[in-house]
Formats: sequence, C-alpha cells, structure tokens
Amino acid sequence: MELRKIASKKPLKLLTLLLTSMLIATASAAVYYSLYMQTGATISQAAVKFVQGGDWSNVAGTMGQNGTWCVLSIKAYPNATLTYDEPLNLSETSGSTKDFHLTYQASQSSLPNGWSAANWTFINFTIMNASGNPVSGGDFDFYTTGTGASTTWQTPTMGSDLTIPANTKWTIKIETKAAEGAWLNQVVTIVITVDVNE
Amino acid sequence: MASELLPEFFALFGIDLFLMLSLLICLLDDRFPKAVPYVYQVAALAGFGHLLISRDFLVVFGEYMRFWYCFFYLIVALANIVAVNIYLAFLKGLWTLAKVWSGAVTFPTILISVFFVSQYSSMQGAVFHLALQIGLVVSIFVAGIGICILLRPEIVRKLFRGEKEVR
Repeated sequence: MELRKIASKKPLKLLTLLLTSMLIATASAAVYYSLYMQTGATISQAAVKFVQGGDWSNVAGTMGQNGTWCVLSIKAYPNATLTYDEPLNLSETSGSTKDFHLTYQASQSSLPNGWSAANWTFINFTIMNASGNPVSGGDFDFYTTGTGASTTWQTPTMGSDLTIPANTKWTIKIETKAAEGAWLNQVVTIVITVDVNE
Repeated sequence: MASELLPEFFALFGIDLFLMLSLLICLLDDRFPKAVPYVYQVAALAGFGHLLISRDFLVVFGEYMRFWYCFFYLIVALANIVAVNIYLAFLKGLWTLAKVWSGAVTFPTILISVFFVSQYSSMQGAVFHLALQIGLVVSIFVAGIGICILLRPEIVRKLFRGEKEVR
C-alpha cells in the first residue's frame, strides 16, 4: 500500500517520534513544575521548644501548648540581684542539630521609657548549656540607661545563631535587679521568641 | 534558600532517557526490531502517568516512598541503556557501535544519574560516607580506563608486550 510505504520512511518516523517526544517531555516538565509549586509547608512539632525548668514553680508561669510559647512572672528586688537558676529550659526535640536565636518582640512587649524605666536596672537572660556553663553569645540582656524621666530601656539583639546539639536541653537563667528606691508593683512585659533555622 | 530537588526529578530524568533512547534507536532502526522506539515512547508515557499519579497522591505517599519509586523508574531507564549496549555488542556483534554507545550514552547518563542522586541525598541530610565518595571517584576512574581500553584495545596489548606505541 502506498500510504504504508510513505509511513515507513525513516525521516517521517523520526519526525513523528521527535514530535511525540517533545510533547511528552514538555508535559512531564510541566507536571514536575506543578509538583514543585505544590510542595507546601507541613506543620510539625517545634524543633526547639520551651520546657519547664526546676525553678518553674517560682516563676509561676504559663506554658503554651506544644511548648512554643510561655509566660513568666518574675520578680525584682530593689538594689539586689535576684537569680532564677533554672526557670525555663530550651529543648531540641527533632533529633538533629539546630541553629536558633532569640528575638525581642517590641510590638508585643511593654517596656515604657521614662520614670517607669527608672525603677529597673536590668533583666538578663543567659542561656546555659547542658554542663551548666554559659553558651557563647547566649546573653540576652535588657538594661536601663539614663536617669529620671530620661531613662530608657536598652533591648538586646542576638548577633549570631546559637547551635544546639540534637536531643539536648539547655537552660535559660534569669537575673533581675530593680533600682534602689524603686516603686513597688511595677510591671514590665517582655516577649521573646525563639527563631529556629532549618 | 537553595531550590531543592524533588524525588520526581528522577522520574523526569528517566522519561527523558527513554525518549532519548527512542530517538537514537529510530536513527539506528535497521539494527533493532521496528517496534523498539515505540516501546520506549510508551515507557516514557508510563513515566508521565507515574508523575501525574505522584502529584495527586503527594501527601499520601510521603517523601521516602516517592523517592524509591521514582528512583526505580530511573534505574529501569538506565538498565535499558545498558541493555541496548549489550545487545549491540554481543547479540549484533557491532563492536564499534557498542563502543561509541558506551562512551557517548551509557557512561555519561550513569555518571549524571550518580551525580543527581548524590546531590539529592546530601540535600536531604543523608550522610554520603567518605567511603562511598572514594568509591565513586574510583568507579569513575575505572569506568574511564575501561572505556579507553574498549575504544583502543591495542593499548593493553602493547602494554603487556612491553611495546612502545609508534606514531
């Protein structure tokens, strides 16, 4: 048959295969691209989370569900440093080393400057490793500068990430001090978040 | 953050290998059964279907399972490339063509596949042991020497006879 003779010709066969190949390759690439765009976020357990420490009862805090947030109620004494050795722990639960840093959330905190700030000297957060030693770069200190109405809070920024080993528990030590002659019942609210890098 | 390879990349690569095989065999069609290029087109189409199913069941299958079935598809494509090489060399006795095929198709595709699989494993945090890395480098050397010998067997004969190559 004439048609069969034409169809069996090599260039025509090659052209047909080339066209179908291009079609399949393009469609497959499009599906792959859509898969790539489809790959979304999966909610999983926090890799580094808060865990109650040995002094938890002294800070009378509230631990958020899943350990992703907590509220501490800490005191300060006038002209004396009050130390909470182990109010709170940071625990690595994912089973692999994680980098993280603490961030002060100014918009959710209440650290008024002026006469209110003049009641305070410092509120220091120090991250201690599993051996009980301070982690290098793990200081997160809030302190006041100036006097009277011009007193202002200095808030910290963690310069570089801290690396917590897998399945390790670190402690956050808190030290507070109020100014000599501070008014009683002065309250400040500090919100700090733990930002974990994947 | 750097873009990551999805496990389906191996299926996509396998599809492209099947399509390449189909076109190459079409060019050499007098040495193969007539249906072979079309069989490879169908295999590529099956891979396309495989990708579609993978997309629809992305969450159900999980990354581990997706990797293994996509990797298996790639292995099948690579096995076909090697099989064509063996067919040309041993069943057809086309030694020169088999040598060219191994140098131009088999070796590069296997090397590229190993590269992407190692890239994928390092992205997923899997440990690519030093022994494996050394093994890969040694394999590349051995394969390279093997191809050289396959293409120029007289080199070995001259080496064992202690003869010097005269240009």
